Amino acid sequence: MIYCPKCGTANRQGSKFCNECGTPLPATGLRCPMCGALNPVGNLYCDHCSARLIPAEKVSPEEEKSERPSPPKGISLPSVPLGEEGWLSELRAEVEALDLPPEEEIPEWLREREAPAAPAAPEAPPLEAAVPEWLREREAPAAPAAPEAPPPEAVVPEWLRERETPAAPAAPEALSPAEKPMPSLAGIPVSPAGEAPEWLREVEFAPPIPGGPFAQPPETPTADIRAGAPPEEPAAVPPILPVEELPVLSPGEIPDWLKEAPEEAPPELGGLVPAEIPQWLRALRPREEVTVEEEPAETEGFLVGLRGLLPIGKGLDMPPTAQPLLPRAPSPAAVARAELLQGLLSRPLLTPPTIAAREVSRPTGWTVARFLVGLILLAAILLPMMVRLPLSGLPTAPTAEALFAMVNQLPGNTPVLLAWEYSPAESDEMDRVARPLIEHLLRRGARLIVVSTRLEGPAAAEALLASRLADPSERSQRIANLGYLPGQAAGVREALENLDGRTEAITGLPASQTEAMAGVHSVADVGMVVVLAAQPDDLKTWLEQISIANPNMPVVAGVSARTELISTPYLTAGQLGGMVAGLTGGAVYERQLDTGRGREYEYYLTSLGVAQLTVAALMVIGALIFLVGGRKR
Amino acid sequence: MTADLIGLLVGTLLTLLVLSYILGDNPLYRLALHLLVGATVGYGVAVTTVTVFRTVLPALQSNSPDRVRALIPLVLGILLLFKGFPRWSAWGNFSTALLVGVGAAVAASGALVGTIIPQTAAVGSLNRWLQEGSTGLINGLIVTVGTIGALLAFAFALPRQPALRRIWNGSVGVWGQVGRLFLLAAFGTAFGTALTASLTVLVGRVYAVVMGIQQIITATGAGGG
Repeated sequence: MIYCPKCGTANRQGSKFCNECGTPLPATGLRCPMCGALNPVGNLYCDHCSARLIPAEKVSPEEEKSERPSPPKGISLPSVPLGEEGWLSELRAEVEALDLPPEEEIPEWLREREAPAAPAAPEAPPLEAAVPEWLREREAPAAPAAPEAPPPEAVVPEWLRERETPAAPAAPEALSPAEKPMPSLAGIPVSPAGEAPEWLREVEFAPPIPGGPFAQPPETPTADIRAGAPPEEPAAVPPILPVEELPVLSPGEIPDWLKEAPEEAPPELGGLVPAEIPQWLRALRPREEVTVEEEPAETEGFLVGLRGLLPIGKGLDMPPTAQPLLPRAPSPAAVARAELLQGLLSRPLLTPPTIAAREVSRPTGWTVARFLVGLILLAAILLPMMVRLPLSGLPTAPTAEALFAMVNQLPGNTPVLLAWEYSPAESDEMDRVARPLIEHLLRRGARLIVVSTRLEGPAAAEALLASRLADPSERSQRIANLGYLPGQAAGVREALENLDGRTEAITGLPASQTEAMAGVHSVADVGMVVVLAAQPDDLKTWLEQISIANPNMPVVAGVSARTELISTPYLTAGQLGGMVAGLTGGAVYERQLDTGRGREYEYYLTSLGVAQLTVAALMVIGALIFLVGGRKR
Repeated sequence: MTADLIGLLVGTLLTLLVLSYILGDNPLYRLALHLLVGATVGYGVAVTTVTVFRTVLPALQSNSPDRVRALIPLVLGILLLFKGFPRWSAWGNFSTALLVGVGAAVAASGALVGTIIPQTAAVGSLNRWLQEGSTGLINGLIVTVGTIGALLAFAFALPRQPALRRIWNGSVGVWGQVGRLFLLAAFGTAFGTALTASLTVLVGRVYAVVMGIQQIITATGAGGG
């Protein structure tokens, strides 16, 4: 932003006139010491010639930013002079330490120079301080540095301030003609006209660089410029080449003396220290010493004659060309792998291993062990048949006794729904559970209505029921086998509500026409439901559906030992009135019924007990064998 | 030789064939297995067919309203046969949906009314425990602790707050460990029950074989004598 010096309005960078009051705005920016182009503040390099605008020894941008105060209102120039070196700060401090004369002591000619000065604010720091004086004046000879710029030391380099250093001829002030004294030195005590000050006489001068602009006699006290000698007294000014005689440099051109100057300080010559070029000036010198080979011009295409074009990158835009493989002999390993693959491919397809093959591969000891276990079990089962063991006492089963009591309370000719839910595979156990119960029901004169959700159930029921009837001719009055109920739970539900709508499985007659079904239409017409279930799910299905169809219907069950575990909660909840469970329950019921088959049950229970003990002993032995020897596997 | 004796002989023979598995998989065992599976399937198909036609045909021949009622399941059953042909299987979708839907609804309602509600009421009935005295109280306490513990054994989530987590581990975690013990006892009991059932069947089969051989010898001796 550029602040108007009159009204203080902030204007856009690059504006020439104030947008508010029309006042011409000062041109702000950094003037390139090489080409003279004006660059925006903050540029390190010139936008036109790429010359460095700020010496390389400048502090880091972060330090510079932290040390730089905000610009004052009215101008956008940096408050701290650019290019201010340590030597300049020291000089500033030294000058301030001097007993400076009041401002009225400024020579008249200097005051007159203030009139054409730029309207820049007096407090503005000199931007030109970053540029060597000689360069700045050469670029704009008619507009010397603003005389109102207060810091006179901004243009005095280190080498000049130190009197012992004979580098005075290299001072930039030497470039200034006599009629252009450095107004910035107005504060320094002025010697009489034509005389060099005492402090300046003691200065020893080094031989100038031959051919440079400082090729004046070493006795020329260029420091007189610092004394503020007026231009009309050229006698006091050393014979420095006037500006007109200096070689005119085009933008970007390096003066010859600067090109020939060595990079490092030259060695002493005959006890004299050659002139030293300040670092900041040396840094301004472009590095054109590095010669760049001129690129060849394009010779074909529409870019013929142009130079500096990007070359065609090899390997980027051109497809890689495959290198032809040279024929060579395969390695022995590759040959071996190829032969192996060929051998595998030539083999016949493998057939999946059969079960017989797997069995053959089993160790013989496994088969022998299994055979031994089988023999032990058979011996344990057959032993009670040959020898009466005192293992089985009189079993007790309160639930079976309760069921016996319930059946005893049934009135005669009561229809009883009998759910036959076991197959011939389970008949060895379930027949011994169901048989005493059915026999008891028949003794009580009950009419049995048989249904089953098992396919084999009706046939198994028919075989057992027929064997329990004392008179086979009574079957039609006492038994109605309604057969198989498809549909699982839905079939049970339908049968409970429509018993007379089915067909008798043996005779093929409608159930409603059988004598055993007289007066029975649904489950509500029966006196009791007996569920003979070998599997827990079958018992649950019947209990659940009866709970919906007729919750108050008395239900009893004859179940296997496996189903007893699931049946007990229903018995506890009152959903089951009584239960005969397993061989133990059957033995108890047989004893209650006094059928004379107690020896058979005794054998069964004894064999079962011995077999259980044998199995437990075999499990313990097997576990010990595993712990001792089998763990190695 | 009567039919009962032939049946007894065949049954004994097949039992021995099945028991030959004690020597490993062998053709005799395979023969018995194939006979058993084939006979079971064949008998099932026969029973199902006879049952369906015995139920439907009389109703269709009658003039009662049952004729219309029997016609609906007959049509649905015929549509269900299309399931055997991939091109026409869509025709059986409605029958399948009806079977599955009705079956699931009946089973769910029965489980709710016949098992869940009565069992919950029975377990939580304090009056029943009190009526049974100290035994009932102990039994009810064990049932309550075991049931809740078994449920908490499957509580795998933890609260995020450390304080709540410590409380959770000290209460729910410990109770869940107790529930795991109940689960172990239940699984062990189930295994023992299954083993007992298998041994019972084996005892029955051995007894049947012995009795069958005895009867065969008796019958053969009687016939020969």
